[in-house]
Amino acid sequence: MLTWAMLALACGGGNQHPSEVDQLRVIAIEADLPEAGMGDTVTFDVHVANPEGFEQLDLLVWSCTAWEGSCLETQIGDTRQWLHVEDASDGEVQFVRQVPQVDLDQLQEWLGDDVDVYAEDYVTIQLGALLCEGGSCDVIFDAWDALTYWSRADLAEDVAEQLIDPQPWLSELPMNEVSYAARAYRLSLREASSRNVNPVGEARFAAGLEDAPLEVAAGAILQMPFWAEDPSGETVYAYGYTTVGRFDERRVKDDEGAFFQYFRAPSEPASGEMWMVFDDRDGGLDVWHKEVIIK
Amino acid sequence: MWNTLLIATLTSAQAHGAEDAPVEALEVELLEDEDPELPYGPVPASFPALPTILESAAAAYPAEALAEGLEAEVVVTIDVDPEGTVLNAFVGEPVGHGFDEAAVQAVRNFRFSPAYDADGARAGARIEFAYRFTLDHVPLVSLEGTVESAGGGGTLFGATVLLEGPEDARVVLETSEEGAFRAADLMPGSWRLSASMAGFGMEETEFEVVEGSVAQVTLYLAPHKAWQTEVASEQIVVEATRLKPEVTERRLSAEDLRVVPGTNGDIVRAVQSMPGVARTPYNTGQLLVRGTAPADSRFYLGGTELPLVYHFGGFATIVASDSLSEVLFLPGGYGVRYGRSLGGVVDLITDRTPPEGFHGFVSVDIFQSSAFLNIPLGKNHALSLSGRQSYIHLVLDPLVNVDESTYQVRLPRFGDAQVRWLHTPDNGDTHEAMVLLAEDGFSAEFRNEDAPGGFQESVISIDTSKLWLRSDVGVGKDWRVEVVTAVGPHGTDAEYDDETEAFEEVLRLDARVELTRPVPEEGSLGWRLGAELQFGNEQFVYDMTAFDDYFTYGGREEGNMQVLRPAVYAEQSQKVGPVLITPGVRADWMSTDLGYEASSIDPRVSLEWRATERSVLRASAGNYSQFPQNREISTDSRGNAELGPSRALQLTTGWDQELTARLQAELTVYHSSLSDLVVGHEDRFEFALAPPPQPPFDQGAYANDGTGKVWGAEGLVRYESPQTFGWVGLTLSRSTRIDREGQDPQLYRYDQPLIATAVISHKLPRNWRVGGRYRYGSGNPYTPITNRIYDLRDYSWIPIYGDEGVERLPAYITLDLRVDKDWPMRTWVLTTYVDIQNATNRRNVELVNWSSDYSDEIPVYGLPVLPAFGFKGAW
Repeated sequence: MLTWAMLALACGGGNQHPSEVDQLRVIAIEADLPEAGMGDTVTFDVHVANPEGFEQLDLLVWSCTAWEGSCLETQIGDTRQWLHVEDASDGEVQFVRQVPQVDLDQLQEWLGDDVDVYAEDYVTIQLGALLCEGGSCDVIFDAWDALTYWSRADLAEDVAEQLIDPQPWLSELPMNEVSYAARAYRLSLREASSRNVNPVGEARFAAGLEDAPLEVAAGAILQMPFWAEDPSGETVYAYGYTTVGRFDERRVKDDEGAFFQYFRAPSEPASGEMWMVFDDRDGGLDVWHKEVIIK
Repeated sequence: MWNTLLIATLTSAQAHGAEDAPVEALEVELLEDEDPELPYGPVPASFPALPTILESAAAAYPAEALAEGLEAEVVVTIDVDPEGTVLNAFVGEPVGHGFDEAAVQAVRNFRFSPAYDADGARAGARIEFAYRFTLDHVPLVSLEGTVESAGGGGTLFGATVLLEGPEDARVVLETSEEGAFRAADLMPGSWRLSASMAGFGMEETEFEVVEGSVAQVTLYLAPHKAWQTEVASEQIVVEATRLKPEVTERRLSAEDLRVVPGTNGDIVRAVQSMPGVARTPYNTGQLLVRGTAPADSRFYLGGTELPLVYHFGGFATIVASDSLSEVLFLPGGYGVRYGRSLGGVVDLITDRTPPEGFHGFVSVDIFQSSAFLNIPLGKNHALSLSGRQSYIHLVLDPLVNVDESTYQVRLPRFGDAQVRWLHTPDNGDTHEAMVLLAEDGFSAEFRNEDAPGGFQESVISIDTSKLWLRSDVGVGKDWRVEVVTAVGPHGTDAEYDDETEAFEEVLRLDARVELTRPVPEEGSLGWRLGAELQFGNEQFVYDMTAFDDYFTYGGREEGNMQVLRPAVYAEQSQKVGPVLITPGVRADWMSTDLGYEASSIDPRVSLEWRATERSVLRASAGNYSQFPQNREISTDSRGNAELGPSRALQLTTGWDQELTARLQAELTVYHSSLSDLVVGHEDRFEFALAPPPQPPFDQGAYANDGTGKVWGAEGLVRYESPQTFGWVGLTLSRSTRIDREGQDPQLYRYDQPLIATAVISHKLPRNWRVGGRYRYGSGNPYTPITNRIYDLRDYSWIPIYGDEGVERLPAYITLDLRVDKDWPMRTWVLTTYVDIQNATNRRNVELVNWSSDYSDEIPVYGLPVLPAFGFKGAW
């Protein structure tokens, strides 16, 4: 099978580079506190790529208690604590949430005797983000109703049921008009002083640009040095995304804080966006975002 | 023109119940102007009637007799068939001096009107004909020549020489014991001469007949068998139901198979063009027989199982074709000789004909080079040496490495060598010993950001060594005993980095003892009694975690066990009138030193009813069992020691009809019920060069939970004449599986409901041969991806699959062409060929890939037009 795969993939060719973004996509869900304790207030930033230029985008963000990548159960109760719907047409959505209390006894009951929840350093919350061209996703309407009539637990339960198993309804949606992304978020059981914090990434070569777009000559290969610091001392990886051209590498690992990505501009003039996601692979994130113009 | 005494005596009128008694002598008329509208000449006015001469030919006056001034009258006895053709001619009382041979030669070119019996029906007849040679008229010799074997084998006795000249003149001659032929009184002008003989290719030339001169011609015929060319003397046997003494067989000559287009002359690959065999993507040479997986079929060398039969990628067979006489292909419903398999069987039968002389060949084409040498050692012994080395990667690497940014594939490099000793005593026994060595290598460079240079090389190698022994000895009246053993290691190894470990190593003894008694001509009872044994150490480790970025392989698997697989079987053939019934039973057992035990008992029965001389009805029913693979029972990793064998109940019925002497048809209908199939861990690592199962994978534990049904119909129409052979095969089938209880039936991943194949090869004058193969096959089912989730934990996409197997790849259609040309020399033969695969350069979709975000289906196309050139020198 391995050898078959070698041959088949080689013969296939034409695979899209992972850094290329040509359809609607949730690029990252960033939290100012990568590990939060129960009751902490966290600010989330959802970064969205809209290369096809849809005029209206609906975003649904939700959370569930998870174990090893799968939702155990969505949090039913105060719908506003785990469900958020917003217009994402501007490409970035920010919202604030207070981390809910997690019933560890209930979690222990779900997981059984194989796991000792109380011995863990954290509980994983899964964050899901569904991005749809305006009006494409019925589940967002349902979620909106659940939020609007938040006292209607039956509405919230219906939405929760859909979100726990998204595959059936995702299969029915047009792939190029929706983007569904998920990430893990740590609900820490440790002391605040020992919790992970976000790395800080910067692009010094673009420091003078401020809000101005990055201009690159058509067909050029641009060396883009980045720097990142991780206060926790963890290794940081940088993942590049762009809606025009491509980066050479899917990811680069820091070399004493420095990263070198090479951007290959398309041969024709164009405009778009690029992102560099700095990830300590431990929940900590920082996102650099820039508009880019190919001349 | 020539003087003869036309006296004939009718000695018998053999046809249609005529009395077998001498009849009075009659005079035979020589008719100079027969009516061309009447193929048998004028109908006689009364019956019975003797043959009359419609066409005659001149005899060359023997040179020796002419020099001595001798005359003679030769009485030739001639057998004439009901068509008026001379069947046989001989001289009862020779007169010598070359007169007898000359007269017989001339008479063979006569054509007669038929004899008629008393009822006016055409009948065969024996007549005596007096041919008088007188010096008053000496025919002028126009042509003299000899026919010789191009392989240096000397002159050829009994070759047919056809002369075609002006005004549709036609003379047929036969070469003498010295290989000579002569023709006299040929009409002046341009003549074409062609010579042919069984076992040799036809050779042609042209010559001018000029009055007063004698044309001299020497022709060299290319022998097919004596050269032991790459596939010489091989046959493929396509047996639709079972193996037993009087089996219905489909035999295609080796010479034919050698030139089946698209196979590069590999006769084992020609099996893939047979009904019931689905095509594997990239034509890797593996067999998908009647809806089963490649791993469900077994390969044998003379009855002992081979771990593999094809070199990596199926480009060639690991056993030199020169050592083989037959390839036996059993798609299903076979007898008890073969077991441990739910699919088809291919058995390579070694060539056991006595050695014929020192011969060999050297062959070079754009993919590989090979050589073969046969050395006679006395009257009954022979030693043969053969070897092969490929360089196919030099040709195909640039074609498959279209985008080298992520992978760079180095196609297989393979080689093999065999040394074989054959002893054929005069009593009909055979003894053989063979050392078989084969090796394969395959590598790819994977993108790996942590590796020096950004690429990490992966190498897979396969090594096989076997010592193979076989004896076939007569024991008493009609009974024979065959003992076959094979022993040696077989290993497959993958090298990547320090974290990667994957290998399989098998050191095993395979043995078979079989006692057989075919159903005698005058008897009614035949027997087959046998025992099989496989015993050895089998070890495996699969740990490919380093490939996690590319493939999903589950966890590490390992096992090391002593494995014992004995079997016994018995089969009795009972002839009851036109019906042959063969019931049998086979018992298999498997155990390991880790405590695993399993067994199976498989009763089978077949029936053959010869309805008419040209029609045979066949039917069979039987159980078939297949033990789990070692990894599936290894308790060292994730195996399940409670697994039992997978089973199949196969029902087959077929009808064979000989439409004409050259045209045969066969229709077979089959049904197979599969149960206890081993399912689970579909994401596991496999060495096999076969399409992997498509996600979503069944990652559950191994269990005998699978069931399935395979049914279909196969039709085959085959044509074979001295100049042309070919066949048309059609397969309609359906294969469904249920992996786990409660699931709905799904199409099996190799389900190909319609397969059609047409093969034709035609001999042309001047040793040319052209052929074509057309194939149509339904595309394999596949599971579409309907959406995807972007996993921000590791920045990867998770596909969401639709209903399993609801989409199907486009149909596979290809046309292969082949042209061969022999260049006979005095002592050797040069053969050149062009074998063009996918001559129309059709872009057949072999499978679908997806873009990295699963938003686009990317068809993966098969190889483009691929012409292969080659030549071979044989002596």
